[in-house]
Amino acid sequence: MSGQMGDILRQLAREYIVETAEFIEQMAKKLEFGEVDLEEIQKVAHKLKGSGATYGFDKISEIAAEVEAAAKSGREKEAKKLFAELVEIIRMERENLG
Amino acid sequence: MGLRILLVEDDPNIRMIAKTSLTFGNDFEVDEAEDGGKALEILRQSPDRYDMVLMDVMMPNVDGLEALTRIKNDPALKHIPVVMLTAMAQKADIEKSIALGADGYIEKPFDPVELPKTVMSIYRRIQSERANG
Repeated sequence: MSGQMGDILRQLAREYIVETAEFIEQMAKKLEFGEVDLEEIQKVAHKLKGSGATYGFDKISEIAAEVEAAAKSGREKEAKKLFAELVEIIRMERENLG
Repeated sequence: MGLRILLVEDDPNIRMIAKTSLTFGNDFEVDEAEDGGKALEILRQSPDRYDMVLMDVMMPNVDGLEALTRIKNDPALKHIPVVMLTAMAQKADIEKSIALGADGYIEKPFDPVELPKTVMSIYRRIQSERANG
């Protein structure tokens, strides 16, 4: 995508990843201390499923969809495992920004 | 030709990219609301300001379907075109929206590059349908 609009969208995507990475790290810490329940995981995953795809981060969206599905059906262990994968993917995208 | 749009979406990231997409290089004016309740307050204050409401379905407090119902049942607001932003996978939401009087829907995730054209195309279709009775 070229042009000014492309530049703006790329800048928004950068800001999105930086903000999302900070948020997900905080959530990962809270999860470690048992301060996050399955319902909250599902809500966060649902949001990331939508916003990830809209900002062009398809992998984030895919894994978030899996987290959401696992959390929704009460598969806690699986949801947390997938959530950890999601955190990793977001970290990688953040690092890729440089 | 510009449109005045009320964008109703609880995710600030989605609001940001949608508003940017609609306003950059276009004549659109975009106001925002973070849920259906806030949208209803804004619309009741200015029932003739907006050419279209773009409304997400899943939102806290008053969700999109509830807000849509209240808009279409309010004589002062029912003329306002309401276009739902809905995940394609949620076919039931699409069907419910249409049954409740939604004037159209846009699939999520939307392409921010295409969004202005999509919105304008839906607006023109609505105007044409209304003109032809």
